[in-house]
Amino acid sequence: MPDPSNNSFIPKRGPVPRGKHGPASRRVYLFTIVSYIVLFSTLLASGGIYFYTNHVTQQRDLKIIELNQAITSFSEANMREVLEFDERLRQASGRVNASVSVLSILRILEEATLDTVTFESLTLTREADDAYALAASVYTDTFDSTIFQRDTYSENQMISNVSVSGLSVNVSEEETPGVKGKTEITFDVNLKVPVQKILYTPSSEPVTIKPATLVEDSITAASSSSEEAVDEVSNEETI
Amino acid sequence: MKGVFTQFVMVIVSIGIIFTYVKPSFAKIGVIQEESKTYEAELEKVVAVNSTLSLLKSQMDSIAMADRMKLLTYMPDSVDEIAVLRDLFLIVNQSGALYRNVSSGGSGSAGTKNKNSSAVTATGPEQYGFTLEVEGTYDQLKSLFSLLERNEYPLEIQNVSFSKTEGGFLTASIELATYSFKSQLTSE
Repeated sequence: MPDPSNNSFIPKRGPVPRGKHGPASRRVYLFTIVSYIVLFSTLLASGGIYFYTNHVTQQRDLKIIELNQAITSFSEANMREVLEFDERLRQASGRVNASVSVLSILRILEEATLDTVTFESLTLTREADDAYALAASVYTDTFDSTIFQRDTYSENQMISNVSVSGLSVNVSEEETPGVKGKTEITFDVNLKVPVQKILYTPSSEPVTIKPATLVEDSITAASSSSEEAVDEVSNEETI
Repeated sequence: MKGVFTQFVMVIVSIGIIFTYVKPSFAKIGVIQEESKTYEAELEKVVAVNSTLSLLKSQMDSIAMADRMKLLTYMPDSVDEIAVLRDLFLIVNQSGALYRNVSSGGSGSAGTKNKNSSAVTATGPEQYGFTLEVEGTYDQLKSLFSLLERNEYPLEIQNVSFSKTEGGFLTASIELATYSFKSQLTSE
């Protein structure tokens, strides 16, 4: 007898292959993994950022402390002392570089002045730190001396801006008949000597000026007391 | 279904954490790092300044006391006019010339006609003028000038007028200038 169960009109389905439901469950699984990864990454990142923010903030605060310490350690008194000393040196150096030997001017005139020429008066005037202006009233006995003297001054390399003016001639009366009177020629000379050509150069000779003994003693006492003060300050700084 | 909803919530929460905490924190870290760089740069500058100041101070302190006293003598804080008049008297006597008269002109005025001197400027030292009248031979006056230019503090000759006297001697009227230190620092 045939099996009655085989008489059903409903066709039997064969066994369903496993792979048919794979795609649907695979999508869900991936999204799960992704969501978990995203969440945990976010939490980890948040934690890491929190600690890193604290670290960076501490670093900045340390820098601020160091900066404040460095600013505090700056000594304004030392700065003023150094600046004042530097300024004093600059001003002294300025005057040293403009120190002039007036004696040199006289030596230049001695070398450049003829024996037949006599100075009646002489004025030296310093023009800032540029030059000395000389104005002289000169006497001689011949026109040739006048011309030669003017040329000698003009050709002298230490002298500049030479001008001769106010020339006057005076012939004295004959003291003896037949003998000519004396010719007197006076003129004014103006010239300049640049400061750079007459700068003072100290010699090796010791200074011979001796102030009064009382002043020397006071200077010695002041320098010794200054040395003691400097030693005390340096000891305090060491402490 | 419930599992999918949970996963969606997890993703949304993560996105929320990223936009509300992570992203602002990154910006904050950037700001803090910029500030750190600024402070670092300023610290370097301050340290350099302190180092330079220490070096200059030590250089200044290493100068011999004798040299510092010479500097103070050459460029003092103020000029003792009576001391200068006394020194001029001594110099004239030492030169052999005859002392006639000496007067002080105060700071930067009388006794000196050199108003255009570069020393009389806002940044230069303070100038003091003196007038000295002497009489002597030419060699004695030369000796006087030699002593004046070798003095331990400047006695600059601003103007000299020579004239003859009846006895064959020369008279000289000398305008001199000396200087004192003028501080450019303003007290705060």
